[in-house]
Amino acid sequence: MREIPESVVALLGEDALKRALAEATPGTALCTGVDIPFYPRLSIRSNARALCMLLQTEEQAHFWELLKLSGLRQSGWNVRRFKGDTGAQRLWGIVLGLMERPPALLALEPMSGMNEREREGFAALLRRCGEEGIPFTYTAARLKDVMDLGLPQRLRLALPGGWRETDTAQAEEALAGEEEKNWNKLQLRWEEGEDGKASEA
Amino acid sequence: MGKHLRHEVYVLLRRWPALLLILAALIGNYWLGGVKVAGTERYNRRIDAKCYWLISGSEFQSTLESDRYYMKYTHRTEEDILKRYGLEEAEVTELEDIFPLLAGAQYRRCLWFLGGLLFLCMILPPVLIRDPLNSGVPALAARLTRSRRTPALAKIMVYDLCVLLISLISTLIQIGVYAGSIVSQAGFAYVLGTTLLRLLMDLAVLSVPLYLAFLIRRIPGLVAVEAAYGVVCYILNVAACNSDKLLPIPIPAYLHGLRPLWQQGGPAGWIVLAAAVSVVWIVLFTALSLRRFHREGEKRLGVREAAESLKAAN
Repeated sequence: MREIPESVVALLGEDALKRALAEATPGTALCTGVDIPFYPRLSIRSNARALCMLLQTEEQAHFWELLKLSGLRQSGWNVRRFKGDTGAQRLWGIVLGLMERPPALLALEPMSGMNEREREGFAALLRRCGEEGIPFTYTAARLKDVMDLGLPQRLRLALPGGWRETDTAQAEEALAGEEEKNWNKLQLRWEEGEDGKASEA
Repeated sequence: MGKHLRHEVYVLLRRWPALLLILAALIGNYWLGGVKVAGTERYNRRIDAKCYWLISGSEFQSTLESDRYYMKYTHRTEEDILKRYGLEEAEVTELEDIFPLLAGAQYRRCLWFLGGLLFLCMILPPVLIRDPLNSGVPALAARLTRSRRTPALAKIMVYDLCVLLISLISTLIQIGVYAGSIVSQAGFAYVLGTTLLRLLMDLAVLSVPLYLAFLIRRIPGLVAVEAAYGVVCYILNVAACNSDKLLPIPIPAYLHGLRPLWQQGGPAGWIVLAAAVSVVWIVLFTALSLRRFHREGEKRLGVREAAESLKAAN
């Protein structure tokens, strides 16, 4: 059985965003889909090079490594632009968030607007956070998106009265045979008395 | 500071639309600053012939009569013109020979007039300051380098450098085209001194748009305010050229237009005042801009602020 990294947590449910923001510890860096710092008229490569000029040598190596992991540093990046490319913008925002080495990072709906390739990059960044123990919490609209990343993760579902914790392996097991893998169905299964354990956050 | 400057220059050179706009500002500054100067050849549709623009409405009023232009194919001869402008003693055989005699007046016209300011006001601050600030990168740079003012200072330095280069190049072209013989007539020291004073005063006039770019976030609104400021400067500049009095409040755009300031052996007190006022304006508006950037950086959205805004929205 694959090990579930402790530091990577996906939040699901209607109130997940509101509760996550209310409960976040001070100093947590926030990655939203807006206000992502980049020059819209410059290519991704030029943006990266411009930013690199401001970093120390060891920070530069870390930054290039994160870019490579995210998949942004690939062929065509010298002409590809962030303007209108929501997925690339969100990935860039997460790379910048991780580069600043915050005590914890909270990303709001990071996967919205990402294509298959960008999701792979996001999964690679999550994997790195899991390996290094960097606390990374993110909200997701659909359980299927989280499951499709192919990465064992902790899941927290916002239910009335508190959070309910599980992980992707247990969710997979609970939803075996279901065509649609969404958190409502998972909640229904729990209510029927199947897998999962309740905990007050 | 070095890495911030490198960053700014790199970003500027990578943005070719911005470079094109700066080139447009340079051409506009030259074109608007150089019209209506003696010796400019014009086509006159009324008489279907070429004619020479001999005077500039305000500059030549004191030294020449206010004749608007000389038509080459009318009853006037070169002798008429020379007599009219008190140049009978000059050894002139062709009309074009009169123009070098007017070089001093033309040179002063090139210096005091702020015609191209409107272009610079509208183009440079949004392109060089507000657009990059809206991208959020300077705020990120401030966080990464733990320096709250250096990114803005580097941006201001690049802006000042662009203003100086545009002003210098357009002034040199104007002098070359309209008053090429001024160095041999008046001396290199006079030309260098007045050109440097002009650069300093241009920088002072354009330090207000710099602050406005830090102050106003929306680019259309900023362009409108900058255009209004340019018009006010133009009015002050033209008003000053017909006046020999100082305003109670020293304003660079007005001081720029005072013609005695640009004359050879002009009043030293006025020159010192103009230079001092320019330096004060540059320092004042640079400091205000830095302060504004510092305050804008503090408004970064954090987790607590996001939670509060979400609560307020619900």
